[in-house]
Amino acid sequence: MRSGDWVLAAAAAAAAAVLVNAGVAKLVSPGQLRGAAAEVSPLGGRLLTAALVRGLGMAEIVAGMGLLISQVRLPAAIAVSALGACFSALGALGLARGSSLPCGCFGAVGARPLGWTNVWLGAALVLAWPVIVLAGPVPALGYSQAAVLLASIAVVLLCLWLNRSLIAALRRAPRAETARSGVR
Amino acid sequence: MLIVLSCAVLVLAAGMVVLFAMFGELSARVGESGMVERSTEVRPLEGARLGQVPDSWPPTIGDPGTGEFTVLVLSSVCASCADIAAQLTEKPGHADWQTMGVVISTSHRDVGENFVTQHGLGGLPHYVDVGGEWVSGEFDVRMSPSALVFRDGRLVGAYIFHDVAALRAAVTGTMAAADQEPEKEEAWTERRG
Repeated sequence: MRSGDWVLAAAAAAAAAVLVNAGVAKLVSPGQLRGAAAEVSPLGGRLLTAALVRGLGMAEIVAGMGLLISQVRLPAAIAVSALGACFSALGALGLARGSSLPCGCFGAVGARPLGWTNVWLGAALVLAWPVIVLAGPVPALGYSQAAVLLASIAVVLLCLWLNRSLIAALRRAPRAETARSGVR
Repeated sequence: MLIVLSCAVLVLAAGMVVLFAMFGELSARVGESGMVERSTEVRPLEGARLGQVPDSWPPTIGDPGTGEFTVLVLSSVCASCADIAAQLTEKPGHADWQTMGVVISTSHRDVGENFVTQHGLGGLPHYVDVGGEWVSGEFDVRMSPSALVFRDGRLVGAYIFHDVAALRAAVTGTMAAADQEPEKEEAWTERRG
């Protein structure tokens, strides 16, 4: 593989890591995103059911995984760009309406409301389609092997980073908490 | 072969993400249920060194002075302590409690400082007690959330609590009763004399 193909595989792996972590979070905890959506748009809150949030999460995972397989990466990139545009729009809406509730975009541990993070991450994902079109063909097997391996590493690292407060609390817990009163 | 191995690793990584997501959700739900079941009971804490005058006093939690002073002992790892922190800072909060300081008992300074920042305790007099050395060394207190009540710099009461308003009422009541004791003694002495 050329160095350009490695860069492309790494970019696809990074996008897949973001989408897999975000998608799994929505599958497990759809409530927070519904709450945040209802805060910025009451109509959106009513329309965005738990099933719809979980469907969105599944779409993110499928689109992210699709980026790693050379044969389907173009339709996957179109889906990723569309999802990115939705994230950016939701982030901009959160900024405009002064969102304060945690969006739960990366799970129940996160406390960030809809805002600039969604706008920038969404904008980066929108680039998936044009980048893949401009990059042209890649060696099928080599690209998939590299992208899947890099994605595995990126998924784990991002997961650890997103859950760092939870991990720190568990690692540094000096003693177990009793039923109602914590033993220091 | 490499592609199969890579896919297997990716599946394992995705499994780890699922586990963390479920753990995070569980952690959030436990926090919520803890707040719903808040108890107003204030119980004496056994084993504290009542009568102890501490050798050292962290200046950042305020001056115990000559009157009554209460130190709330929180820990960075207990869910109840996060709820106590929320009670202290959220409206109406207890910023008007002038004779109160907060000690955050923690294993590492940065974890304690994170706790202060995360729960907005920076505006209250506070001290990060690394390893719980101060509260355990001076008063043999190893429980949180707990409250240490001082009078004239001497530890006169130690309690376990979950509701700050209930604790405040209990402390105020105890102190009022303690204030009356010398008056009763004086009156008794005068009658006998």
